[in-house]
Amino acid sequence: MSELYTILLLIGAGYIFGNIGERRHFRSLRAREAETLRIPTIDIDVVDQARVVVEARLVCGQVTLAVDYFRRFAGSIRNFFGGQMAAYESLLDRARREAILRMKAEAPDCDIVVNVHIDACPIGKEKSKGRFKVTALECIASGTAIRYAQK
Amino acid sequence: MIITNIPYLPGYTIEEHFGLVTGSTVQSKHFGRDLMAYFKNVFGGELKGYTELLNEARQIALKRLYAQAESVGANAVLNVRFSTTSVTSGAAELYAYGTAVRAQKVSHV
Repeated sequence: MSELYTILLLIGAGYIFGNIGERRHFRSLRAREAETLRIPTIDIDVVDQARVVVEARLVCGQVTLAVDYFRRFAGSIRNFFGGQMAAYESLLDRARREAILRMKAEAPDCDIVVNVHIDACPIGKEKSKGRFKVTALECIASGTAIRYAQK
Repeated sequence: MIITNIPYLPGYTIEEHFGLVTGSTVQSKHFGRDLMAYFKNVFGGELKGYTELLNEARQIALKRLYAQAESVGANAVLNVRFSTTSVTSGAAELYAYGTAVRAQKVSHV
């Protein structure tokens, strides 16, 4: 019986803190995305041939995000019935946007970031026997920051 | 050493190719960080310890990439890619690879 209470408590805690955390994160993402709108990021490798390039360097941003207990529970139920797993979609979205923002933060003085690649790798602890399983997603965004000479 | 992930270098001409250079590392965090990740899995959110781990791993992998590129006589590495694998629980492999070249700056008139 106490086992059940513990799981219910964990689900409740996950629901409350997970949602608060996610809302806060989305708010911060939107604010920082608005701030860095000046630097475009594109995933093709084009450089303006008409302008002189002063600097081209590799920039990276990485983040590791964990999904909360409630979402994992909701995801496992959804997995049984099949269909869109909204609980995990927002995690992926947050991780990718955060990684891109951190990459941009490495190039505050640049004009454009080209050839952006996003690489995601799930971190799983499948072997652990207990109730806990670490399911997290790590995301690396890499690109080439280009700085043009001032006209 | 100039590093980019585009297959050319703007403002430079490529004089010589040296082929693929790589750098990889497997990193893990101490027990305390793993424990914190366990707790964080209830509430969700960023696993700062693992982000830090990834950051260190990337720097080490790039350092090894530089060392290899320098040993073949290159001054730039182009088309650098990263790849990650979680080898075992709590450890991550980070692999960086790119093409080592010797580049010469084009003088602008």
